[in-house]
Amino acid sequence: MAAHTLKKSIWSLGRIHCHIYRVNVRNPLNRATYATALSTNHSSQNKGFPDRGNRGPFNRRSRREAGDPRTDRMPVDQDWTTVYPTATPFRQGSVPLPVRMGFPVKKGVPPEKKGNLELIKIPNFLHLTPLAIKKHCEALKPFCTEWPSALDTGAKCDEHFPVKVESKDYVSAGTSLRNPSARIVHLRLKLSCLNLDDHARKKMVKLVGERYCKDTDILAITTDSCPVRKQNYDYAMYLLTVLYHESWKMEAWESEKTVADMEEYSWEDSPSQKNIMSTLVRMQVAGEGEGEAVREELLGRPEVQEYRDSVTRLKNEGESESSMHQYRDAVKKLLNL
Amino acid sequence: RCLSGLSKNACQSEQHLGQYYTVPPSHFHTVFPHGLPPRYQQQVKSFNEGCVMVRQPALELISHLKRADYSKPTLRYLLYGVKGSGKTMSLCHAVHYCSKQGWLVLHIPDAHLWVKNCKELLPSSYHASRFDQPIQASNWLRNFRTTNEHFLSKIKLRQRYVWTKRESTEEGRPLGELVDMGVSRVKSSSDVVGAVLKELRLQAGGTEGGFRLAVAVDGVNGLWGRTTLKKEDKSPVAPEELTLVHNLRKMINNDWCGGAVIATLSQTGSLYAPSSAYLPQELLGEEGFDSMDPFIPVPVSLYSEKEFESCYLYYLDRHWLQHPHSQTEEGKKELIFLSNRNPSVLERLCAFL
Repeated sequence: MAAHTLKKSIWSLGRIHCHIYRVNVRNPLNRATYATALSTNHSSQNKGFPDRGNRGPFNRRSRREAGDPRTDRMPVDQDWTTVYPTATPFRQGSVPLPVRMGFPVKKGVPPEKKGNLELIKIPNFLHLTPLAIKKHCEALKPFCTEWPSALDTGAKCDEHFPVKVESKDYVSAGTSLRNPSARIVHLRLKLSCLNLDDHARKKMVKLVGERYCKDTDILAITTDSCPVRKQNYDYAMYLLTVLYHESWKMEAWESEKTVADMEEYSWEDSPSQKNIMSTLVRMQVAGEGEGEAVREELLGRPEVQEYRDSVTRLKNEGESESSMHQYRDAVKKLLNL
Repeated sequence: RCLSGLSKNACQSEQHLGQYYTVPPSHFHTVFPHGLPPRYQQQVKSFNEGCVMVRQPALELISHLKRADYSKPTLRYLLYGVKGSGKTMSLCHAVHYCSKQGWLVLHIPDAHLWVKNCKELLPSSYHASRFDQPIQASNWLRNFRTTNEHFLSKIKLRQRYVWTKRESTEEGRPLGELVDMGVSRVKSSSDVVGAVLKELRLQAGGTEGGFRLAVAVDGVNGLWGRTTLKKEDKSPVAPEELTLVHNLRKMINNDWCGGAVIATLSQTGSLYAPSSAYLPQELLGEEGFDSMDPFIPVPVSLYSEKEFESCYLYYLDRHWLQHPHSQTEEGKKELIFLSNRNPSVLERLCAFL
């Protein structure tokens, strides 16, 4: 570093004379006259001059050499929240992990993290370690109220408060306090807590479409069309009311519902039932007799019930080896094999 | 391994599982003019004999066929399984059994061939909106004639068929005449096929001179899917609009008695079906399933340990595996790993060795 400081002093001295300085430097003879302590310096300076990489003869970049990356000096039990207190882009010198990302060149590996634009582009969650989140929570606790002790299970919450409204508040330091994302309102409720009969439930599911999840039986309405949160909340409640009342109404054209519109397969009046009935009648399984009585008797038989269950299962749940086996056994029993 | 004495399929039973039986060469041309998978045909040519492995699905089929009551409506059997697991071979095994027992065999080698790649589509003379496929129909009639020579003279027609203003076939003529006419008059061959099927349907299981009818269809899911054929105005042709398909669908219905329908699903030739689909409902579709219902699904699985052993020993015996490493234990393990005991994959692998 001695040469370094020496160089600095020379620069500070010779600003006006730098031109002369450079001319002198180019002269090899003159170079020899300088002290040896400087000669190493000059060789490094010479590198800068001919290629003009730093723009112009007067470039005054006081370039310090890059130090060691912070990763070298990180103890294992450090406090990570100080390294990444907020959401920042990836800094390869601050992350002590040998991460690789990118498309590998032929017969190579993904490029390393140093100078890797891919790693910088993607969002990272390095600022969200459990410890960091705990610290956030501790900081937010003074602003919160106690959770009611009577509502300790999810079931009790659902029972007393079936409709759940969620919205987010945003805090940031900037020119404006407002954040447009704060107007979004999510409304969630389970359809089982509404008083709907069979037709109303099917109609409701058809009306809401994607907003209903069949596995969890939750209807989730998200409103963000109005500029203010209160307006969005009112709109969501209005939607819920309208959906409920509309699904109870029966329109005239609903009676034209076809088989293709049905949500699930029902065996009655299906081609499968007709086929099996006609087959059994022709096989004269029920003895001589015709008409409704024979059909009723056939339908009541356990084999026919089994067959009906297996076909319904095949159609509703889709196919698998086990459902195929069940169907096979049912058919064999039915046709007396 | 190769029990040539077992040409009488009647004595095949559970003990013979995994063993090979030889089909006498004379049968190959009569029973299977068009039924066998192409790679198997090449294998037959190389080995100079045709050996078929006795496997569980085929045995199950044959046992059902033995015990079924033929005065009741026809039973339909559907062979399904992953690609290359041996469905067509099991079908051919069952067909061979049927022809040995003296049944009349109606073997359609691949229903997909009738719904794609047709050069000539003629509008049908019999029904205005349908289309005829003369080439496919006449090919099939020719093969049908080879398979069932001895039946053709015995069966008499019950109805008069009029083909054109000058030609007609009278009641009481033998079926052979009808078939010959179909082969020679290519234009009306599709209608001849329809007539043949109708006659057979009416007469199978009849009390006088009754015979049993086996309808074997490979790739039956082609009958209910889409076709790649187009009409002249470039609109797609639905399968119902093809005479051959229409008549075949009538055969597959179980409103006749005195026989059996054995079908296989095939993804290999099928149109617009994903390559991982092998279960019946996926390949047949809603319409197909409803038409085939109720049917008996027969799953065809990959080779079991015993069957794989048997196949491997057969290839060794025939000197098909030339590579010295393939004859060691390690080589066998490699084969198991590479082919996952899939019959067709194993056959292709061994072809290289």
